[in-house]
Amino acid sequence: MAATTTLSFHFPYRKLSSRSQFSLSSPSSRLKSYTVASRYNLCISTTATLSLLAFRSPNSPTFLAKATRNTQPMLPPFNVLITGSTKGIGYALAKEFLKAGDNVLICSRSDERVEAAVQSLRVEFGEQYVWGTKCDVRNAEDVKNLVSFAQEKLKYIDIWINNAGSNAYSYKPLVEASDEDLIEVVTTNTLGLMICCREAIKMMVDQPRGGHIFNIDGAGSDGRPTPRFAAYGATKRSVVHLTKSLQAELKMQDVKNVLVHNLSPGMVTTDLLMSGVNTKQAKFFINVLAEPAEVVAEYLVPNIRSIPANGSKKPTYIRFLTGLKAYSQIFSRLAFGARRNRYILED
Amino acid sequence: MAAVVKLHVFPDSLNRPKTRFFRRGFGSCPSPGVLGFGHDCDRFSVRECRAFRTEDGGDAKEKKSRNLKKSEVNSKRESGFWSSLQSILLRNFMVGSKSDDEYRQAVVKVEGLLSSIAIQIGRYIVTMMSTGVILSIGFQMSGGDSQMDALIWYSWLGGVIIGTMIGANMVLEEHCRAGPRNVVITGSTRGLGKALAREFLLSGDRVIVTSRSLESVQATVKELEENLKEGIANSVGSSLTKLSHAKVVGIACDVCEPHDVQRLAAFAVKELGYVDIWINNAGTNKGFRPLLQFSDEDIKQIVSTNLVGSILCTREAMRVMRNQANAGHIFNMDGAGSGGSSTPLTAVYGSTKCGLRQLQGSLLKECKRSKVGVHTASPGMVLTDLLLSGSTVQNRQMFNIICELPETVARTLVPRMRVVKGTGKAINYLTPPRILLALVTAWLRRGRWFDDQGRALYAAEADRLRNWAEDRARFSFTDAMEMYTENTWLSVFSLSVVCAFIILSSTGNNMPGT
Repeated sequence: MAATTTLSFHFPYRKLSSRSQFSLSSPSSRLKSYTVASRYNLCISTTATLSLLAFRSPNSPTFLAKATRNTQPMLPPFNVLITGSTKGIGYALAKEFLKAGDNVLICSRSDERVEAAVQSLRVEFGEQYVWGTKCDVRNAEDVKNLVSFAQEKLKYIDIWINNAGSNAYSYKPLVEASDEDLIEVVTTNTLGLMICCREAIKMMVDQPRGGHIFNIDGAGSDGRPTPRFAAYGATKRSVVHLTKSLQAELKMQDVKNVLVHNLSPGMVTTDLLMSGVNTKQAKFFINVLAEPAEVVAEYLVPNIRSIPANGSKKPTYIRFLTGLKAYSQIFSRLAFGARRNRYILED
Repeated sequence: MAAVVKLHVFPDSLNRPKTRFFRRGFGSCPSPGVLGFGHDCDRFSVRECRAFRTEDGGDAKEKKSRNLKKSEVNSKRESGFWSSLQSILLRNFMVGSKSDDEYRQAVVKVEGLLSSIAIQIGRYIVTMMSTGVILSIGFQMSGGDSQMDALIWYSWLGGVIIGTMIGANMVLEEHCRAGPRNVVITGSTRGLGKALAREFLLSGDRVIVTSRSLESVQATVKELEENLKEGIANSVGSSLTKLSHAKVVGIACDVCEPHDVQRLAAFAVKELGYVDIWINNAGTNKGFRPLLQFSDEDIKQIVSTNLVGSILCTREAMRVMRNQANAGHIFNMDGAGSGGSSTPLTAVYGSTKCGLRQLQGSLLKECKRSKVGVHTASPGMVLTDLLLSGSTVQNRQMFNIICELPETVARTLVPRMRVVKGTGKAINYLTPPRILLALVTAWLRRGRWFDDQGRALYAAEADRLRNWAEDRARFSFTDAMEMYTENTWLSVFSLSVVCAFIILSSTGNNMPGT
């Protein structure tokens, strides 16, 4: 259930030579859309800002009181909660956090998988650091239970990673996609994540140590088209947008102790990505750009941990596969044939 | 069709005076190569004229082919001009033993045709005479100054070209507007959806309205039928024949239920045969407040209506359109957040709309070679329940400036949705000129919809419609401007630049000392 793949599935690789700028998510490709809608959004956000004055008076005293009450610095070890973490990148992240000495709470839709994952992690890292429970993020009750489980076992959560994501393991044009797949993709990636974010913020606002929420993005989150997995791309785009809106919302409400970040693992060789290997282009980019979950987690976890450790109050966007990296990898492939047939046999 | 007639004729009449003038004006031209034409000034002028002619001829040809296509599509409702004339002549000369009755009918037909031809010729003569009068006045005023004469000719030429282009565009649009479209609009029992449905209906289209509740669908269908009846009662001539094809039917459909959407598609095919335009308008917001204050049910409804609903409806529409003979167009509605900027207090709504914009890109790639067009329509800010629920007094003060009534927005969007071609078009209400206008006139707009206490000042829907029915006939300049493609304006602009360049260079040459 790990949400992976970033940006580059359908890289405009013919155009590479003509592009001199090395930032995958720079909005250059979206310049077009900066016309009307964005202006209109501008309007709406100004209205929203104005309305905030009205909003603040009834609502935020409670918030403020909570936020200013005896704050504590966030010191390691951290309590980490990762959704959808019995396999793929979620599992790799959990392992990496455990290696760094943190406490980890894992969850997923299936009881058996949680049980198995907890067992194997406990064998490796000891009894008292790993907890696990069943949680279907699409179900609000489950998420609430997850929060109470976390409060019961760990008292507080410092880092909440919204990793659960799905593409229903199907890669085909929207016309051929089935109802169940589409609904599963949207409800897991968007609805589930929204509910998780809401519950996480609700929980963390009351915590003296505050908290950090990380939302995992995926292909399409920079606004580039994702043919063959259109629904997935749309949901991932909405994830990034939700993060942005939440950051603005928390700023408006003067909530300083909860931060929402984006986390981009790039392309990871999990089931989610590998189920889509059926075109030549896909094979090419997976070979060139994808990395195993362990490699990605090794890079991401120190970066994630450095945020609370430094007491940073700025929302961040941590990327594994940066534009520079992606382009240089593609270049070395094209120039020297590096990484050919790395995971999958091409043609 | 006046424009068409003009098109064919004026380049010939243009040829002579222009040649003369180029000879005169450029006789002493030291470097005509600057313009990228040949050395010879004669050649230059001739080429120039040819260029104009081909352009206009191309236009006319295109138009003709369009007309032909249109008439085929309309299942040959109107027999062509030439065929009818031919048949009459044949009847007259070949078959002498026809009954008087038929003969009289034929004569009436011919009379009608001849009178229409006479009207066209009359229009043409009037146009040419009036331009001639203007020209001669100009010459009188210039007093024989050759430079001034040249200037007048150029400006006349520019005017004629711009006029014909605008005229040709109008004729084109008129043809594109013809023929009933089959339209499906989701979430169309309230707000913008209803206004869109009404506008389509009054344009003579067949419309399917849907919403979650059967009662409101039935009520809306009834109301729209009333509107249609009124429209028929008030209309005359061509608009009456246009409206005779219009109809409205409805079915209950919850867009986030796959089975409902499939039923809607089947219903559309059964009722209309095929679908030209499918508008995914259903959307919900549930008020302005921080995410923490949204209940589970609220979030679920917003996501499933906006995102799941649009995806399912788009897929179903694509399935319907793939199996039909003619092209179809799908519109997804933009909203706050589509552009990617953050939408605090409507985080859920904003992120679903942002996701939809990305979906649009993916669909565009997936539908590249099919005849399904995927478009977005952005209504801007509309005074509907979606926007007003949970808005504060301060919000409403802002709404005064930038908001519009749903009918106004629908009036602008619908004509452009009806004539949309290709794929990946964005039809926006709040275009930069409109935003500029709104900001410039912000002071005047303060008490437009809401007063200081946030009470609504605008009329209820029924009253609005009554006033609006009279208003419909009025010509809106901004709408007319929007109708022309960007290319038209671009070519008008570049033509004027070319004219200015020619004038400047020709005047500059005769200056002493240069």
